[in-house]
Amino acid sequence: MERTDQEIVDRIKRGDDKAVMTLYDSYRKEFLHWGYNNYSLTEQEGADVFQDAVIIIYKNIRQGKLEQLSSSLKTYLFGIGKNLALKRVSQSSRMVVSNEAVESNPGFDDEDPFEATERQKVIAGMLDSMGDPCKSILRMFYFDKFTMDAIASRLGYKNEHVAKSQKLRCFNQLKKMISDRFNSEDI
Amino acid sequence: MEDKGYTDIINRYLEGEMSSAEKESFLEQVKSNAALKDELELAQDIQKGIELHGSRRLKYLLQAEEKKYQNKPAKSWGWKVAASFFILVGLGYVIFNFANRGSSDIYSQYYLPYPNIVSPVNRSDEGVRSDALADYEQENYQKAIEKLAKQLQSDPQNDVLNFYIGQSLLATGDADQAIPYFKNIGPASRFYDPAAWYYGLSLLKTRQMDEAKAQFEQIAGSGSSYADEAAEIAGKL
Repeated sequence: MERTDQEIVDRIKRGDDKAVMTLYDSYRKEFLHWGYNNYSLTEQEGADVFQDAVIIIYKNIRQGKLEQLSSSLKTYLFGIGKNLALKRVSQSSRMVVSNEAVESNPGFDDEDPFEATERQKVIAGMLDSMGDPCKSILRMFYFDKFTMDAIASRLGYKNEHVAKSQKLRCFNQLKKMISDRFNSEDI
Repeated sequence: MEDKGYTDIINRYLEGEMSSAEKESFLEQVKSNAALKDELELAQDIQKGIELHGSRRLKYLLQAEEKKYQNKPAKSWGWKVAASFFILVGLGYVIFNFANRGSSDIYSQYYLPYPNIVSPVNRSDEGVRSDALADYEQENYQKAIEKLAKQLQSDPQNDVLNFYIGQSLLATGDADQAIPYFKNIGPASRFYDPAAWYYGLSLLKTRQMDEAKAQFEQIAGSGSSYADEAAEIAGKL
């Protein structure tokens, strides 16, 4: 891994919010050229695929899955990007994709972050309409995978125990919203 | 979907706090207890839903980052274009242009259409409404506007209708017309915070700068989840 790569990974691990944008800015141009040359992706399509690849990388770093891997960030980004681009061009039937063409990275979670059931989508939407601190606390815990300690210091709670009970209250509040919604709609 | 006191044990399982023996016995219980199984599936869906929300938010931030590239003119042309402007038109005209571009730059940097968060479930009594929202989701804004406007006639205070007709109008560039609909949404609505945000963006788009600044300052001082972004905009105005 190059030094700058390691720096980006370390910053993301520390919870530096700007590090993801540094990652985006570092490889965007190269990725868009590559997407255009290999898969005829327009600038907009290339950017869209690249954004999803960055989200997948971010999730893996936050889940601690990138520590054991030794390739450069670029290798991972382009590997994920290749799978996403192949999926996209095969959907728009621009290219016939054989199964072998889709690579998988062992130990690495490269599932599409936007693939979800209807119920999961409705829940995600409900969280949008939830105010803070619940929205932030739940997102920081379940998506960003911050420790309770880190959440407490970010949101100004006295200690991790206070943050943890707040998280539980928020989780139950969301659960109640879901129960009310789905019971009233008879699903 | 009644909570029978499983929350604690399910959380311990999902957060990996169980010993392997405990986990085994928990999974045995899940097999034989349908209510527990439902609760576990719900908790898993909630986690997935929260993760999806997080991914969508990050996507939104990355799209905003991408907009910086789309709005940026190629470097080598920048000076030439600027120079021709100065030659072709008067300095006053240029200043006028820059002032206007300021507000629309901020607008395009922060504006993204709000997702459809109303359940896509089809119910006979709400068929028309979900039809209009399906149009909205597929970016058929004109059709959505027509359908929502028709329903608003019989239900003028409905927050879903007001919010999404405002959204559709804004998406078609008609910020002026969107404003009254956003203003119609009261604090009791779950759309109140986003409506206040999009009202601010509409003011920006229609170049009502003083009103926009006041609106974003108000959002920045509230507990709204848009507070941080509103403070950023207010600082730029």
